[in-house]
Amino acid sequence: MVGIVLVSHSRALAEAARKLVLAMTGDELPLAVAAGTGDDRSELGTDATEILTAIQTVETGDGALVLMDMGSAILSAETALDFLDEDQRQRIRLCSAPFIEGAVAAGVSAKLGNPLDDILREAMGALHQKQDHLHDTEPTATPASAPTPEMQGEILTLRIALPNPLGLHARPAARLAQEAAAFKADIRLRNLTSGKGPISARSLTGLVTLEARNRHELEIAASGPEAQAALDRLKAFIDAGLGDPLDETVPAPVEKATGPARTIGISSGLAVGRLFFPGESAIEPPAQAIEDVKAEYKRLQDALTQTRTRMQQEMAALTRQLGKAKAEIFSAQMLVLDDPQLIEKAESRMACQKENAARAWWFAISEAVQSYLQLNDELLRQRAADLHDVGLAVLRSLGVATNEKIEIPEPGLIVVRDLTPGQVTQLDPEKIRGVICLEGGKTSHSAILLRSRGIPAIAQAGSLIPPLRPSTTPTMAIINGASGEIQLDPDKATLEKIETEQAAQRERAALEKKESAKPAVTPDGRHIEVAANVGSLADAQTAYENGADGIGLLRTEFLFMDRDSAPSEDEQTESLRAIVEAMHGKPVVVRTLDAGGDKDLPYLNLPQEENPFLGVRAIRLCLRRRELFHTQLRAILRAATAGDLRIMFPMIATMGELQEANAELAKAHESLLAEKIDHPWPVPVGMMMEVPSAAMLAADFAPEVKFFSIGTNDLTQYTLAVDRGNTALQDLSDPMNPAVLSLIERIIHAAHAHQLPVAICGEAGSDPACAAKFLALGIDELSMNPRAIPGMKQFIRQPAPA
Amino acid sequence: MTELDSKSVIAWLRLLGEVYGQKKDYLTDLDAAIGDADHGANMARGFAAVATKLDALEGKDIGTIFKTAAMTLLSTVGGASGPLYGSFFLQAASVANNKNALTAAEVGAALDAGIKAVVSRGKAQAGDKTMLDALLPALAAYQEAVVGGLVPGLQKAVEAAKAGSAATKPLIAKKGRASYLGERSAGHLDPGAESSTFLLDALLTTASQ
Repeated sequence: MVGIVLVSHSRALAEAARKLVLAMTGDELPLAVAAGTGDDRSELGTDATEILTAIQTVETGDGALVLMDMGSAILSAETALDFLDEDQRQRIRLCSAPFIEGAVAAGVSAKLGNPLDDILREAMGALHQKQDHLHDTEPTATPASAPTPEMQGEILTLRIALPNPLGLHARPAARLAQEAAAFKADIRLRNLTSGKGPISARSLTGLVTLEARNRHELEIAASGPEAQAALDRLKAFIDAGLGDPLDETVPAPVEKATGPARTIGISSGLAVGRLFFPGESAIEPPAQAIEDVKAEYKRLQDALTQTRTRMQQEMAALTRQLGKAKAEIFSAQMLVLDDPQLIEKAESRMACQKENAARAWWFAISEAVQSYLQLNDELLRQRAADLHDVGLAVLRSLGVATNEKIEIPEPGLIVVRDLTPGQVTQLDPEKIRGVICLEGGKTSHSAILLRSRGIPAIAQAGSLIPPLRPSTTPTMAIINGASGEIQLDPDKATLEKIETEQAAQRERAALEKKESAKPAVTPDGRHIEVAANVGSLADAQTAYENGADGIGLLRTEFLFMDRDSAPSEDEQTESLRAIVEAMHGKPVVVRTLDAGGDKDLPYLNLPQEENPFLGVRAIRLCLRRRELFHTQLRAILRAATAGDLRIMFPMIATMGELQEANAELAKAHESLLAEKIDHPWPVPVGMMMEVPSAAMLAADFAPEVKFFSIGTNDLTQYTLAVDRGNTALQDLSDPMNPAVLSLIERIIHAAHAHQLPVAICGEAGSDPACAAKFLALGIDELSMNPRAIPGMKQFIRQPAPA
Repeated sequence: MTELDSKSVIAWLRLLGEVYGQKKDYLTDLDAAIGDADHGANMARGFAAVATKLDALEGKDIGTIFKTAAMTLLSTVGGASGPLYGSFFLQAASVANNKNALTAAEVGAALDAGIKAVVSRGKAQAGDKTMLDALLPALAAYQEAVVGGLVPGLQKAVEAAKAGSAATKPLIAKKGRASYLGERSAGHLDPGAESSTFLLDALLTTASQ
C-alpha cells in the first residue's frame, strides 16, 4: 500500500490531521508524521532528517505521498529526498495539495489500494468539492486540467493497443467520442504508454491530448448500466481502426522544432512585399462579474446550441463542396460544442470566480488551444486554429464582438502564427498581398478559404522567420503560393523585376477599369455584352462599378443560405429589388433556386443521395417543393417593378420541366393579380443550358424562351461524365473538349435561328483562351466574376493575336 | 593563515555558536518585521546544537565536520534556514571530503558548492531579498580577490556580503514568509542576508587569527 507522510511546522496540527485521516481509513494505513522542532518537538519547525525517517518507515515498495504545510516544510521535504537512493526517490511524490483535505483524500485513496499517481491526482483535486460548494475561491490552486469527479459504482476496465497508423488524431478521436456518448456509461481513457489521462471518452479535447500514437496501449474504464456493452463496442471499434483505414500510410513525420522544416504552398499565386508582423490580437471578453450562476450556465448552453445550429448549416454546405472525408474535420469541430471537459471548465470558472459565460468559456478554450499547441503531432497542432475558431463562434453567440481583423498600414505580406477561418474572410486583399503562416497546413479550413479568396499563402515558415524578434527578421519577401517557395530579402534586381511586372499589371488594371463602362465591341464590329455573375448585393455593386453591362446570372441561393428557415416572400422581394436597383436599369437575369447538388439547405431536409449532382437539384427540387418555388416566383415578379428583370430556370433537361416551370410562373402571376399586387407581366423567361439533353434539343427549346445561358461547368461535367470536384480527373474536366464545344455550337446555332441571344455564364467565360473560342462560335454575352469584367472588355476590344 | 585547517573549521563553527547566540534577538527582531520572528531563535538553536558536537569532531577531516554540521542543522534549526544552511554545509562537505586543510582556492570551491546548493534548494535569485543577496556578491568578490590569499579574499567577501545585505533593505521579498507581505517587506533588512554575513564574518575572524 502507498504510504502517506504528513509534514508540518506544528506537531499538534500534524497529529490532529493524522487522527482525521485514520478516522476515515482505519489504522492499517501506513501514515507517518514529521513535525515540530526542538527537543520535544513542541516548537514550530520542520526537520529534514525526521521527514527522511518517516518516508523510510511508510514506503515499502509501493511509494509514498508527502503532504506538507508551508515554508521550511517544503524545503525540508525536498532536502530529505536528497538522502534517498535514486530508486526509492522515484517512488516518492511531494504534493502541493492542501494539507488537511489533501491528506484525507490521499489517505482514502491509498486505503483503496490505488497506485501512487492516482492518489496524487485525488489529493490535488481535494479542494474542488469545497470550492464548488462555497463558490468563493480563486481556484488558482486547481491544477490546469480540472480533476474529473470519481467514477461511481463498479468499474470495468480493459486494455487495448491502438492500431491506427496515424494515431488517435482528430477524426478517429471524434468518432470515438461519438461512439462513447451513445452508451449510458461513464467511460474514461488513459494512455498507459504516454502516461496521459485519464480523461472522459466523451471529451474530444481530452482524447487528442492523450497523444495516443500507433500501438500505444490504452486503458478504458467504464462504469454505469451499459459499461460492459460500451467496452465491448469500443474494443471492436478500436480494433477496426476507429473508421480509419489501417493501411493508411504514415506521412513523413513533421516533428515540432526538428530541423529546418520546409515551407509549403497552401494558396497559389505570387506575392511580393514588405513583411508585417501583426501579432495576435488578444481577445478579452468583458470582465464584469455575475450574480446568478445558474442563469449564466444557461446563457452558455444557449450560445452553444445557437452556434451548433449555425455551424450545421454552414457545414452541410461545405460537406457537399469538399467531400465527406474533409467534412468530418468539421464534424470534429462541432464536437467542441459538446466537449464535457471544456464545458465543465467554463462552468467551474463561472461558479468559483463569478466569471461571466463569455469570459469563462474563453478561458477554457484558450487553455485547450495551448495544450493542443504543445502536442507533438503536427496534424493535431493544426487543429488548434479550428478550436480557436469554434471558441470564437460561441463568443459571438454570447454577444462578444470578436474583432480579429488583421490590418496593416500599407500593402504587404503578413507573417502570422496561423489564421482562423474567420480572420481569412476579413482580410483585405487590396492591402494583404500574401500570407506567411509560421504553422498551419494545406488541409486547414483557413487554407481552403485563402485559396477561394485568391490570396497567395505559404505555411510552415516557423523555422525561417522567428516571429518574436522582428528586428532581426527579414523585411521583404517573395512567396510563391503554388510551390511553397519563399525568398527572403530578395536582391534588388529580382525585386525590381517583380515589382515592375506587378506595377505594370496594376496599371493595366487601372486603365481597363477606366474604360470598363464603355461597351465591348470586337474589332470586326460585334457588340458583346459583358455581364456579371452575382451572389449578393455587394457583388452587384462591384459589378456596376466595374462596368458590367448587366447581371447575366443572379444566384438566388444567397437568400436561402445560413439560416434556419426559408426566407419570406417580402424578404426575398426586398433583397432582389435592392440588387435590381443597384444596376440602375441594366438587365438582371434572376436564376431561380439552384439548391441541392453541392448546395444543401438544412431546413429543407433533403434526403442524402448517392449522386447529388444527378439527383434532386435545381428545377427538379423546385418542382417537388411547389410552395417554396411559388413564393420565390412571386417575389421575383414583385421585384421586377424595380428595373429590367428577367427569369431563368436552371437544370432544365426536358421540355416537360420547362413547361411545368412556366406554368408555375403563370400561377404566381395570377395569384399576384388576384391580390392586386403590382408586378410587370409578361417577364422575359430564359433557361440554363447545362444538361446535354437540353443542348441536343436546343432547336425545340428556342421557340419557348427568350434567351439561353450556358453553364459551362455543369455542361462539361455532364457531357464528359466527370465529377468536377474530383482532382484526379482535372484534365478531363475541360470545357474546350470538342464534344462540349460541339454542343455549344449547336445551342448557338439553334438560338440564332430564332433571334435569341446566347450567354456563357460559366467560369470558362472569364478565361481569355476560352472566351476567344466562344466569341468565334458566335456567343452574344459573357457573364463572369465582376472583377474580371474590365479585363475581359479590353480583351474583346483587342483580342491577343492567336 | 594561508590554509583553513580542520582546527580552524572547528573554531569557526564554535564561534558561530557564540555569534548566533549573541545575535539571536537582533535577527529575531529583523524577522519579526517581515517574517515569523523565528530566525534568530532557529539559528541560535541550530548552531548551539552544532557546538555540542564539535569536541567529538577533533581530529576528523573537514568533510566529516561539515557533514555533521549539516545534518545537525537540518534536524534542529526548524525553519527554512535549516535545509538552506544544511544544504550549504552538505555540499561544501563534498568538496572537503578527506581533507584536513583547505587551500584558499578550495575554500572558494567549497563556498561555491555550498552557495549553489542554496540556490537550487531555495529556488531564489539575486534581488529576491534572501540570504543569496549577501552570499552571491561575497562569492564573486572572494573569487576575484583570492589570488592575494585566503584572508584578503575573505576580507573582500565580507565587505561584499555586508554591502549586499545592506542593499536588501529597499527590496521587495520574492521568497519565503516575507514574500506574503509583498511591498510591505520593503524598508527592512533581510534577516537571512544578515545571518549569512555573520557566517562569513566569523570565518574571516577565525582565518585572521
